[in-house]
Amino acid sequence: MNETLVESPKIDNQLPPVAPPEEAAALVSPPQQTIEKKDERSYGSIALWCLKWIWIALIGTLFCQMALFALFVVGWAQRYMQRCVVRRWFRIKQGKFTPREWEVFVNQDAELAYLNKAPNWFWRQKGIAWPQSEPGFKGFIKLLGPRIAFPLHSFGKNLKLGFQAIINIWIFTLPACVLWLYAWHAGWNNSFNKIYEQAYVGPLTGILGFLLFIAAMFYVPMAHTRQAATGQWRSFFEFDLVWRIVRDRWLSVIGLAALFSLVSLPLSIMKMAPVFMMQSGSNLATMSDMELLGFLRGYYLFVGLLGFIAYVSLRVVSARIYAKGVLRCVEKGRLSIEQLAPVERRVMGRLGVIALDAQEPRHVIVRAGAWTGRRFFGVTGFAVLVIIWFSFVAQIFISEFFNYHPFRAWMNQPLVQLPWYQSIPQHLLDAEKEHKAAQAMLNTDAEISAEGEFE
Amino acid sequence: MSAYYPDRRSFLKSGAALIGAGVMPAPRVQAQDAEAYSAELPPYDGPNIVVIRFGGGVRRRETIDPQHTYSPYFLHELCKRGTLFPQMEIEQFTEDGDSGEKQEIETSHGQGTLYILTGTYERYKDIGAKFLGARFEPKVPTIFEYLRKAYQVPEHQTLIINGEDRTDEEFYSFSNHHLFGVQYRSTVLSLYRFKTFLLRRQLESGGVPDEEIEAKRKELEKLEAVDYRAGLREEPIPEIAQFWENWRHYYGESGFVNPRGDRLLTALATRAIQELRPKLMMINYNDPDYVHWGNPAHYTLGVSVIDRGIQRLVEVIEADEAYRDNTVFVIVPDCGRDSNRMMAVPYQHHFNTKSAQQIFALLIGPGIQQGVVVDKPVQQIQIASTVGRLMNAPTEYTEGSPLEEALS
Repeated sequence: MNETLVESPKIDNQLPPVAPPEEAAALVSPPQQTIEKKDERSYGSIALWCLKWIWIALIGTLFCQMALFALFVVGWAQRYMQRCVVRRWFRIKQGKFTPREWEVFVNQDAELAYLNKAPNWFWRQKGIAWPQSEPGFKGFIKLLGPRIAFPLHSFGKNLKLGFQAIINIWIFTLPACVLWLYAWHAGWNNSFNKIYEQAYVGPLTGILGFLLFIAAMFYVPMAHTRQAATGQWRSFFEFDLVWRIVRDRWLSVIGLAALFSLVSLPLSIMKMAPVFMMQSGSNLATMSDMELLGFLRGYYLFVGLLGFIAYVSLRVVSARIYAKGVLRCVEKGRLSIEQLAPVERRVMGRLGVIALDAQEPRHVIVRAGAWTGRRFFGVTGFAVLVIIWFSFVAQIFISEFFNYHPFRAWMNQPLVQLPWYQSIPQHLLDAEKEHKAAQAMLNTDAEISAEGEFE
Repeated sequence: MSAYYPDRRSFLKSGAALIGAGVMPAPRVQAQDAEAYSAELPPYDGPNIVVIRFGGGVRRRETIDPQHTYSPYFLHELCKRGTLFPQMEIEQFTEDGDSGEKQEIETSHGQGTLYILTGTYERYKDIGAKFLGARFEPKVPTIFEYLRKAYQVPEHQTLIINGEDRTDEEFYSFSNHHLFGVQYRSTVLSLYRFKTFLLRRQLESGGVPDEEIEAKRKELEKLEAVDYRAGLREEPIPEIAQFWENWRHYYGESGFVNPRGDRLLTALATRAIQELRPKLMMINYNDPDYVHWGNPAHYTLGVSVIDRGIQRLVEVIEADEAYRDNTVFVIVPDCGRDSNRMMAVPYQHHFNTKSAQQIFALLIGPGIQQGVVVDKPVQQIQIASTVGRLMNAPTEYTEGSPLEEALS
């Protein structure tokens, strides 16, 4: 239960899989609420909901303009994915629900109350209690620090979760990115120096990078989702569990990969667009550097907005696939509840999920048929997934062939790693610095001459 | 001239016998007519002309801008010795000869080379309609054809030195003009030609293992088939064959010993000056093009390589008594490159932007004004008529007027 600073009850692995633990029930802070109130949301609450999402999109768009702030987007998305997973379980078990029912469900458990609303960017999430004093003297900073920083709890939380997530994603994807970086340089060296004794190194490293990245992307989206759902960075490396979900939901995983590739297409086009914008006859060609800078900033804000929506949408889909996969695996006995993280067990307990025992062995012919079917669909699915992820990687290469972004082109894939979309050429930023320095000098001169006149 | 063709014929006969039925020599188009006509022509006694395509597309910024140049020899040494046209341009539009429609002029290597060679702007299309193909056939004569039609200059003394991976540009050596054409063509020196020579030689010498003969023969046929107009099935002329023989002796057959890229072109050109004594030679440098969207250093390095190549060529010419004070250098890019400020690597050239149309030209040598900068817009197509004027050969189909300011 990473979201609360309240000392969490220790949920031991031997907890029965059904029914919420009594300790948890005791922790329910708000009084039991009835669902007699009107379920329909008022216009006011709808307006508030809209305003909140406009705010989320606005800040998300701004954060997508810089690499460092993109970390906060990753962290925020982690928290949102956790909410999506729990909501999905609630939806599957309870059927169609109203916002009020959801509110009641999460508020009945203090440990889940923070999931009621979409996560905040900066402020403390409603439902998270103030930090309690711990016994014993902890020192001034330890005592006061959390209390002072608490109003900005979400900001810190987003940073921490974003950092944890990106490190794990990098572990799996950066090796391929480094290979691409090298392959790009070696490939152009082939063009420049023609075919020489080591000419094969560049293309070979590129192909290896392709394969490595595709292999990583078989695993990363679902592992990332698991990390988000559990709130624990270690969950990313629960290979057996993650792979079980991937296999159980293989068709959806293929769909997710296709969605990645599809969503990447407009973003790749927008990455290439600056190449074609400044052609003969375009007003942009006659703009000053400062005007062009202003135009590009606006352009990348738009790209950032679309990029943010794309990034979050992909993670929502991934969260839904994960949620259904985990639930199905638990209910069919392929996963035991003990294998899940505490927060997952808690929710499943509240929802009354019952884990079935492993099924009775089936007749040998049925098993043989199932085995053959699994192999056939496994191989087909594998091939399709490879092709789809290849189409995703191909977009990266093609777009960079049109508009190359040195270094970051390979080292950051915004839909997978940091959602960082702004790409203003350094020479324009340098021009801005020069412009500001010249302005400052002019202002100083004007002040001096004004003072002279006054004297 | 008359002594040269019979040699070639006998060479053809012996070659045909050796190569066999698979590689039959094709008849040379109008060869006898050309021989008869050429024998009546006066010998050429004008200056030798070396046209250097500062190619692959370069911007003024990295070449003639003193603050940002990567070609110091060209800018600081050569420009003092000749006439610089810093505002040379490629026109943005041209009119179609048949329909009279306004057409956008493309800024690229093949097109730029033909604008220089023919003195006309034209909207070229790849004859095989290949995507990004540059197999163009000019309708008006090239400067090589003008020279060879006016004077008795053998084919091997009008040379195009071409890069190793732009095979399409091998075939700009003559036009489709009914009064000129293949009988006045120039000769191309390139690794493609060397490979053809080598394969032919290997098959003739019988040194190829039996199991490889078929593959080698097919490879040779493939290479020869590329030159469908002039017919590479013909055996090379003896001087050229000797040139390649010397090259093979010096650099071997592996392809890993000889220089690569534009350094190769410099090596070919300097050896050609010493062995073939060309009267008119065009060197199609191209290394700066290997940037496009890749490593910016390849662009600036490419410019430097050309700069050093020009320096080497000037040194070779000046060390040669027959060429010293009797050679005019015409240095001109095929096209500029974009200056797209919205991109981190802005060096494209396929979008016909203003910057891609902005080039320059430098002329040095006898009959050229020294230390002059002509700071007014001139056109790339004026190069052909200027070269014609220098050679004293009529260039009646060029559209641009000679660059009078350069001529003393």
